[in-house]
Amino acid sequence: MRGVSLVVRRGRITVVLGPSGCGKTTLLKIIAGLVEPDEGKVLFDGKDYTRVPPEKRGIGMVFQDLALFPHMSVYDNVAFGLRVRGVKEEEVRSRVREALELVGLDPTMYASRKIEELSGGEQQRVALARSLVIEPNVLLLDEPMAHLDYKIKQRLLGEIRRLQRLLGITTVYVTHDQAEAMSIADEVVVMSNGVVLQHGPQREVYERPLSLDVASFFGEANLLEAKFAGIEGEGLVAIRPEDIEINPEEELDVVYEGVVEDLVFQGPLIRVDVRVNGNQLKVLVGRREFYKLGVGVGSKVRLGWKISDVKGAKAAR
Amino acid sequence: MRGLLLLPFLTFLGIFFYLPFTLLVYYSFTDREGRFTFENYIEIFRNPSYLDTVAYSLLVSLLVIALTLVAALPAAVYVAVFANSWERAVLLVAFITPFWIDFLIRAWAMKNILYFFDIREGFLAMILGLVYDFLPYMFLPIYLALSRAPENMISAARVLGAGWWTVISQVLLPYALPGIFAGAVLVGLLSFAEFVIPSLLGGTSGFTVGALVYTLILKGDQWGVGSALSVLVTLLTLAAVILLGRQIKGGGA
Amino acid sequence: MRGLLRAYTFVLMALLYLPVAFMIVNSFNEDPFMEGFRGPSLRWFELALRDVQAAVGYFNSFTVALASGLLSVSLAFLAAYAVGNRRVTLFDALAYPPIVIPEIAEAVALFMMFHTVGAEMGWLTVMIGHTAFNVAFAYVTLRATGVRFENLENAARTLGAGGLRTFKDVVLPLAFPGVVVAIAITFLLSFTNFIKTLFTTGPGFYTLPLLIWNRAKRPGVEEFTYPNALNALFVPLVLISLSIAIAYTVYVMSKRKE
Repeated sequence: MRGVSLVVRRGRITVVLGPSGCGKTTLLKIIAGLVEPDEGKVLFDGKDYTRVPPEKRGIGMVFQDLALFPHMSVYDNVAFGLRVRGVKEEEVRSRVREALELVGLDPTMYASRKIEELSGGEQQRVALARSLVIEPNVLLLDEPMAHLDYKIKQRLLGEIRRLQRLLGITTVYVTHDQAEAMSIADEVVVMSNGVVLQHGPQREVYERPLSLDVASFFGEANLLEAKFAGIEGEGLVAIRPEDIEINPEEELDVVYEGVVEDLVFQGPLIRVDVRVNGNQLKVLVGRREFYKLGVGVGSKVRLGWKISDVKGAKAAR
Repeated sequence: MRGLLLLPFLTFLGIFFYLPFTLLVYYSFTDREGRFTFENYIEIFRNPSYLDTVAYSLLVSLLVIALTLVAALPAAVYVAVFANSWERAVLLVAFITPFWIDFLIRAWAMKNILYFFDIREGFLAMILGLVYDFLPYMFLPIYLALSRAPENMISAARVLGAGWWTVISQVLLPYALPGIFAGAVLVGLLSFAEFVIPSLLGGTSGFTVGALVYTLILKGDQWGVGSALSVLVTLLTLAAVILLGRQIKGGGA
Repeated sequence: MRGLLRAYTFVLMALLYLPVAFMIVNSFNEDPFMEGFRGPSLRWFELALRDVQAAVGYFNSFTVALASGLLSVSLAFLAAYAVGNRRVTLFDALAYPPIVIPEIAEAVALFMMFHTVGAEMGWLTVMIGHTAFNVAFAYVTLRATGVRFENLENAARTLGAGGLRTFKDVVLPLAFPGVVVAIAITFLLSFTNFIKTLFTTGPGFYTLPLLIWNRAKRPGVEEFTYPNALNALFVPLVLISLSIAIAYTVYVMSKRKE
């Protein structure tokens, strides 16, 4: 990892997004103090924490494999952080109870359960309760949903967001899954090969990706060869599938003709794959709108989009 | 800090394992007056009684390899390929457990059953004892090699229309081969140097290299040749282990 | 095909344990010799209870094995803890040879060293000889059962536990079963060891396997050396061996799977 400089905004959820092995987990471990950076600094509220050991940083961390203590009950897991801080057992009891309720686990039902008896989603909640109960300054989440089913994942993401809003806790969430990033992020940091490609509010990164890589990591993108006026040579540009219109009625900046090759039904959206001059372009159309168009495989269609929707022109060499 | 924790372990091994072996090598290259010599090694190959013992032990080893292979291979195939998970667990525990039981105990137990069938100390008793004791050493490497094969491989081959003979020769054998090789080396080396079973079950046929070393060192006070033989056995073992280690690394274990 | 292989495998498994079964039956054999069964009897066990030499042998085997088990696991634990989850090719290359080199070569080497330095051969030399093997074996066992739990230790650290607290509350309780299992198996290997003991003992000191060996070499000279009297001495050794060995195998196999 080199030249990574990251300022995380207080009280918001920052998602670090990137393919596996891009250095995002290392970044998180450096924030937690579990890995010492070769050079560079870690500041919390402007104070240098680089040499502070992890146990003195006041962070809550949820690990990829959750790292729940298998030899302890749910209660003892959640109580661990309080007990090492010397909190009185009476207060421990009430705070563990609160924390379990906060994450939606009934304390009377779950407190004495063993970790191995819990489902993946329940373990997830215990891990969350364990890291929140110590009232951390920062909450770090390292791909915590990696092993969960789609439905449970969606529900937990919603709950993490709700808890974060409730507690106002500064959160860093690391994932390789752009759908997760979409549903939870305030801010997005796109990383690749140990470098930060772009950092900004979620919508800004989606609408104005600084490069083709960002455009295709965060959201879908069709890549097209293009010539640029005033610049020598050719480059690539990206256009998002939902920004392409089929058989547009109004005048658009760019119009191509093509043949529909395939239709992929995705529920609320239909993906229309269109072959244009040897390239395949993916177009996303709303279900109702699609029925109005009345196209099928083999139909000749016109595709059009606004020049202002083209992304990543900066990547042109 | 970490290095400090390794220190007691390394010191102990250094003094009570590596130092003795250094001394063993030293004695193998010196005569009774402490002068440097190759005589001890030359003596092994010159003296017919030593050479005979070595050749005899080799023969015994080869025989034991062949018999353990024949006995262990079908069982290893069954456990690795056909057994359901419950059977596999039970059989594995059953075949691994004898590893931890001392040869003296197992040899003596074997003697009980041999006497019942009126097989007295001699060549046959010794071979049966060796096969019994080294069977797990042949079984386990073959099992491990076979268990690396993809799970539904045999079903796939059969779906594609292969008969049993094709399955065995084209699918199973290529996977089993590294394991067979490893098992053969292990069993060969161990039975070559084995001492308890030949002494207890071999009777007059029990004079193998292991027994020879015992006699040279504890009975005959012949440190030179005794240590030279020990060094040779050790070198053979190390060479085999390094060779096998290379091979196993290729297989990803 | 499958059925045939299955039958063969289970028969072979039974054959592996049949000798031990014969041994146990013979220990209840009224007849002093193994050749035939002449009615059940407890005479060999009654004899064993009066057998002072055997009691001394058991006692010596026990103390040597206990010391060797504790010493080897302590040394190995420190090393395995320091190594953690990292790949340490060089260190492993130094730690593994005691396991693979034929025992007789190791025994000869130790015998020569103890004689060269003029050590007094007995309890201590035997215990050290066993430990030189056990320490490597305990190391391998602990590496397999685990003494480091990197993610759990990290979790404890982020929750505010310092290094010592993490060791006490996370590492120790989780490593404990593995440590017990390692002590048990090294205890067993030492308790029943014969070859190494033969080469590292001195006049007057013997363990149970040595005593049995010496008696087996002169069968039937006196009542104590009758084969079935020896069977009775072996039976507790076999039962201890089987129970520890099975427990060890099951535990290590379950850990490997995780």
